[in-house]
Amino acid sequence: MNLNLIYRDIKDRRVSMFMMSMSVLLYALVIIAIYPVFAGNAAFAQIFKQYPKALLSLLAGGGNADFFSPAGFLSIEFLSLWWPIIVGAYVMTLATAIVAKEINDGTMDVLLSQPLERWKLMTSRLTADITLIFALDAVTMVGIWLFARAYAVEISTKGLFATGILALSMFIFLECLSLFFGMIMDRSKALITSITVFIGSHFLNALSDLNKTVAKLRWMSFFKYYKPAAALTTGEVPWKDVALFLALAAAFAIAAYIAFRRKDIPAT
Amino acid sequence: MQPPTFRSAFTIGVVMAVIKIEKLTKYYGASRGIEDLSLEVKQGEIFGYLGPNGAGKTTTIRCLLGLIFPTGGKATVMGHDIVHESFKVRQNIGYIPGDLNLYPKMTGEELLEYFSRFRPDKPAVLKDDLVTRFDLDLTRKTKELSRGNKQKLIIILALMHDPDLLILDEPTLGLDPLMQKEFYKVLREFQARGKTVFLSSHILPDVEKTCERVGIVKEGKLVAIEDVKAVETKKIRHIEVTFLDTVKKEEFDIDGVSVIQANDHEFKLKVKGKIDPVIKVMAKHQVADTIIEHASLEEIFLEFYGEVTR
Repeated sequence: MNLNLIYRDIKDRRVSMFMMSMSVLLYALVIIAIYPVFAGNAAFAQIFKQYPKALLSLLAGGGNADFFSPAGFLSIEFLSLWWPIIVGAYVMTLATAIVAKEINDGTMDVLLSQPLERWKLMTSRLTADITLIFALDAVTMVGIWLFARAYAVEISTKGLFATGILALSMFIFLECLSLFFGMIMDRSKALITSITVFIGSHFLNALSDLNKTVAKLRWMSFFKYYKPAAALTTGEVPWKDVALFLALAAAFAIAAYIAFRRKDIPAT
Repeated sequence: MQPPTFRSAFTIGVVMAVIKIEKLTKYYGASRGIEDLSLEVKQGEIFGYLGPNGAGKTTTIRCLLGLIFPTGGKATVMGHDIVHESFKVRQNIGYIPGDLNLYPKMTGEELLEYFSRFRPDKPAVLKDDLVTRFDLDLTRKTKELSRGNKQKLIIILALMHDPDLLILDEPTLGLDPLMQKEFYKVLREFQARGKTVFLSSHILPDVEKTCERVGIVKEGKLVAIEDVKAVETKKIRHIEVTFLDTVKKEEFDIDGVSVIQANDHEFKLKVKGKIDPVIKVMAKHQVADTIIEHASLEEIFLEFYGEVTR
């Protein structure tokens, strides 16, 4: 591990990290603030019952979340879809910057002409990114905890902790997946491929509730293993799912290194 | 000056090969980068690596630095294999890339500081001296620097830790003549302290100024290794001269001189090798105007090295 690289990467991203944190917190605040209004209004319940099943499934990322419980509402409106999309996009941007952006920018030449092993370069930057992802995850969960208390919305601390752990493992997996794509293709292609896999995975999971044939492929969607509503409600960390995400992350990180170890750095 | 740190494979007392390339080949898919390229660079020499654009100079350098991997052959730098010991190779090298790309948001000071931390055992002992000599403002962000100032910054970055080997790819691009002169002076100082320089260029006069030997690469192959004085004799110049008085064409019947176009007052000449006899003929007359241009490297190669790779 190279502390110089880790420090530099975190320093370079402090502004984007701050902006991202503020956006996520603002969004969380809005969702929590409107919950008491929503929950206490019978007309909303009537409208909600008329929602097509497909739409609910899409919003909840599959499964049957209770729209009127605090955990279900927060999950459907924030944690199941929009928050993973926002943070996921940020994670994919970070991951493809580890190598692919440096190559695109032409700065990799000078960097790799230093006495710096490729594995150290990759793992140091990965560590910096995971630190940022952890920070963003923690900021979100702490923010929700504070806002929930401010608006008297019942969200358990244990539930938030469990959701935070689950989300962190999924984002680390997404980071390593995008890193791998960034090793085998240029940055724009790697980003597009990562986004396609991410969105495709969500749709696959959502459509599995509606179609039996699609349901057979549900195991391929990583959203199948990301169930924030259950984690929030039970307060139990789904360790099996967390382990699966981390194992896949490790596999993609190793694959990324194998691709990077003998990768020709093209001249710009 | 630091003592040489090369491994014991190199006998003390005998001039050491700092760079040893044997049948090095690099293909990018089906397209050729370099092919069966072999050469040696001795310790303490400034070796010129000359070739037109696309000849394979940068490919050779990128192989030596471990940025790309050869498809055949082998090479060692300071006794270390370029593929399996690339980390050790890079410990004692200063590199100036041909493509100039820096981190735009860093200031010059931050950039030098950032890179110096990759070499905790080799402090940037020459930094202050080089900054003064190249007259560079380190407080400005690199994105605000001109091409020439960026080049100065990359030169300082490559040289500041006083490496034993400099690998330079078109190092004077963007520098004004004064700074070019200073740069070559610095190189000669490095050489005087026993350092080795591998200087790649497509500009013949640049190489002539500093190098003792020149490797000439064309279409991915090394076509010759010449003493720089031999390269001098292979120089081609195009001269356009206008005389005020009448000059006979026969006066330019000199070995190596071809008259391309002539009338009584205006001549276009192609001069291979020494220019002195032509100047002496011109001096006998009243010259109204003259233009002397060096031929492109491509033209020189076609003239002198065309047969080799055919």
